[in-house]
Parts: sequence; C-alpha cells; structure tokens
Amino acid sequence: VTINREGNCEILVDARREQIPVMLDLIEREMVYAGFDTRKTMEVLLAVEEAATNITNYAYSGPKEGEDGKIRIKARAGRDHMEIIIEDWGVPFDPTARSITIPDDSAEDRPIGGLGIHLIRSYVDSIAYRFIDGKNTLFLTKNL
Amino acid sequence: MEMSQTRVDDVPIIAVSGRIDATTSRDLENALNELIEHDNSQIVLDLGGVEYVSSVGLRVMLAALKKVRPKKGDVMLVSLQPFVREVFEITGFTKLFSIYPSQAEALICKRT
Repeated sequence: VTINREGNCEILVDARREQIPVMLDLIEREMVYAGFDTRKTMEVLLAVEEAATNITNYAYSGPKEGEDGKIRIKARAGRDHMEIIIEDWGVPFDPTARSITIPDDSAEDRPIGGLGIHLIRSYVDSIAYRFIDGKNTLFLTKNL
Repeated sequence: MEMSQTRVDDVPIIAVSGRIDATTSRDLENALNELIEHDNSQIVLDLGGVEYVSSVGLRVMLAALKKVRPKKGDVMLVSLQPFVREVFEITGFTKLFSIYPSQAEALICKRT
C-alpha cells in the first residue's frame, strides 16, 4: 500500500475475492479522511466492490485463464471529489459500453448476475473507461 | 457481518447485521442453504441491522428464493434500512421479494 497525505493512495492485490475487503478498507479510510459522509462512503464502496467482483470473476478467464491476475486501485482526493481508478491486466472489458436493462420478470426466470455494472453507474457521479498498454482502467468519480 | 437464528411458529428467522459483501455473503449463503436442505421453505430474513449489501449478497438471496419457490415457499425480507432498500429498488429486487416492515408482519402474512 502506498499512501501519502496529499490525498493519494494505491494498492496492488491479487485478483481474488478474499482481497476485496483489503481494497474496500483502504478506500473507506480515504473517503472518511476526505470528509465524505457514511452514506456516500457506502455508495462508493459498493461501486468499488462491484467493479472488483467483476474483475475477480471474469477478467482473468478465457485467454487470460491461469494468469497471476492482479488488481490495482488508486484513490485521489480532490478539493470537492474523490477519484477512484481501478486497473486490471485481464480480458479487455468496457463496463461503460454495455446498455443495462433490469428485467421486470419473475424470480424463476431471472438470470443470476448482471447487476454489478448497473450499481456502479447508479452510485458514482462519473464513470470512464480506457484500455491502454494491455490494461483495463476504470475511472470513477464521487462528488463530496 | 453477524447472524443469529431463531424460530417463531416453526418459521426460521435469520437476523443479519453489518455488511453483506463479497466475502461475508458466503456465511449467509451457507445458513440459507442449510435451512433449505432441512425442508424449510418459509424463511424470514431480518435485515434490520444490515447497512450495506452488494450484488453478491443479492444473488445469494435470489438463489435461495429460486430454491424455495417450487416448494410454494418464500424468502421474506424484513426491516430494510434506507441504503439497502435503495439497492433493492435500483436492481428491481423489490419486485421479486416479499418485503415487510417487521418480523411480526411477515409472520402474519405467512399464516394467511
């Protein structure tokens, strides 16, 4: 973990589900330190967890199967916002490109999954994606 | 996350508190599966102490609902706190589950 008190920190972890709380703990600490209230902090934690869950479940599959997958997360506190940057080296995937529809159907017919991106979009003020140098990079911003 | 189990009128009630996230949801999944495997098809899940639920937690609850519905069962959710309720609403899960303000109201509806 790298932290400096100019409002920046980052952590690189294995892309495994057990590592998600480590990332969330770091982001929660930074959010509280930056002055975000409990509700907005929870909203950001949810967005980060959903992004990290998608990476642990899908990024290092298919052609990337068996790779020693990693996730890097950075928090950059601005004067009136927090920017979270989530990077992985897995299969290229743009979560901003998909149109999301929540089906209005019965539980029996409803496929399990597909909710994470919808939640990310719901709980951040801006979202952007870039694929550069073999790396998925997701930019999430939450206003104070 | 913490869980406690009680039983009222032979209906199991799981009371959960804390955060239902990518890691803690496994404990909830195990508790629900154990009840379902022992032929409990009516289950009350009291979320009054839950401050946070992610999609992994939602999937655990939906998977349980899918298992009990064919047995005419139900997973009744109780006492959703504001953020948790909003997550249910945003994802459309309020339309899938029976949601009650209190354990007592869930149990009354189960009887009728």
